[in-house]
Amino acid sequence: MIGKTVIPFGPQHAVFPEPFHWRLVMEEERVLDAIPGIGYMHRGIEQLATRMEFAKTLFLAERVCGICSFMHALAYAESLEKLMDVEVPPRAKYLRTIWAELARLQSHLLWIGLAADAFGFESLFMQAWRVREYVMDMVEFTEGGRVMTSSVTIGGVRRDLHEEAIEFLLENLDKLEVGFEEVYQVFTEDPLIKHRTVGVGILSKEDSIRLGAVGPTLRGSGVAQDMRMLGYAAYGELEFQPVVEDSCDSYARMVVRLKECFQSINLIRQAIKKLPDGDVLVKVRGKPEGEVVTRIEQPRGELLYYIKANGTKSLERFRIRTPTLSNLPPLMHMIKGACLADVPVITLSIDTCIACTER
Amino acid sequence: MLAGVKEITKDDLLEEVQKLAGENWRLISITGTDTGSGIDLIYHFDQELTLLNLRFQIDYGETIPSITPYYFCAFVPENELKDFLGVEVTNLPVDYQHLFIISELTPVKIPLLRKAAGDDAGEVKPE
Repeated sequence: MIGKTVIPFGPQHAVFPEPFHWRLVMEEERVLDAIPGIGYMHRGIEQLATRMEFAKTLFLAERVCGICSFMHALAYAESLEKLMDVEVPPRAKYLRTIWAELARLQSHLLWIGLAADAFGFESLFMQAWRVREYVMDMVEFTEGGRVMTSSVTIGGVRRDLHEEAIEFLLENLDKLEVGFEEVYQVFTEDPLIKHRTVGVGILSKEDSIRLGAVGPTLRGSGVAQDMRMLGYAAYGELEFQPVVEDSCDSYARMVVRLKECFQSINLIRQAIKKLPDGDVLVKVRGKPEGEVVTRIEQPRGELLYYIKANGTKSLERFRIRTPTLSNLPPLMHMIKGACLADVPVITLSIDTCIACTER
Repeated sequence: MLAGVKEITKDDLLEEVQKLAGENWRLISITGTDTGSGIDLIYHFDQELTLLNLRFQIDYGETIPSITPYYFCAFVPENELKDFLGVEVTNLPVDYQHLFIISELTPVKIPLLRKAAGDDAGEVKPE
């Protein structure tokens, strides 16, 4: 009989792209308990925001995370627009939707590559990131940068799409769809990937709600909830349904992200087709006053911004609740009872973003 | 004004939360704000995209009960309240002792607490 062993897992680990620590209480190869440890890259953004001019805080929000930078800027701009009663031009709403879906695509494809790498499937990792380059090219061509694009601003967007850019988008969406189809087939049919993910890291529908799961983690447990259904930006005028899988395991969470890539391609095509003419920016005057809660669907799930302003140039409170923070308790639940060898795959299955979490 | 707010008292918290847990509401997060005269607490819940905010105020130094008996996931925002605002939470099953996200090296002891909370709160330590 072997007693309990405590294994420190991380913060530096080959499969984690960011510092993340598990304190694993083990009995032989089984995990009895798992306590997450974070705080290796906390930057104090919530406090810093209360000392900055509110318009500059947009750039700070964008720097919460490199992968989700567009989404943070969008959530901040939407919040301030609600507080200041700003009506964003329709064309800007559609452009925000196009860029938000490009952001989702590049984030999901980044995760798909990292997951393939974690499975030890080096060629699939390279294929996924090769296909991701089509998305990065579209981001660069239409937004002027690959990571911090600053394309969203309070009152609209800073850039417009001209004819050449729209053609470039449509051409690259076709190439992306063809390339991604191959990656999708391998991911969903390869026996080794199925062996590592099917039935691993179970999170039931009831537990996913009780433990506060969000995004693909929630939808992989059979709950049809997607913040885009709230209709922010131009989502209210586009046709889509949340992608839901009900096998409640790591495979289901993976398939949700894979299918969401096709959904994003479809949403961008719809948005381009319906793209209205007109201005992309309105002038915003005055200072924000009041409080607001904004929720948007980040690639990893629901992002909540709570902003309280008192009519001065700085915000009184700037609260960010990122999806990974919500997915930590469900992750603890999934890992309990798992084999040590499955811990990296289960952890990756929620697509952790530590930069966002620690903000 | 914030939409979907239900004003409650600290004494009603556990009863209200138990009711919401029974109705399958999902806990989104807890937001704490230093108002200058105390801490304003908002518990955000969701059910099929409907947002509900339970709200009450506490004085500086006042403790709150943990809602983890009904929502285990609440230990995350409750530890954040301890870190950022110095709010003490009773019966917290996973307690990081004020070191969940911030560390001993963080230059500000209780980063989101204004000076009114105490002599050393919110002050930058001398280098």
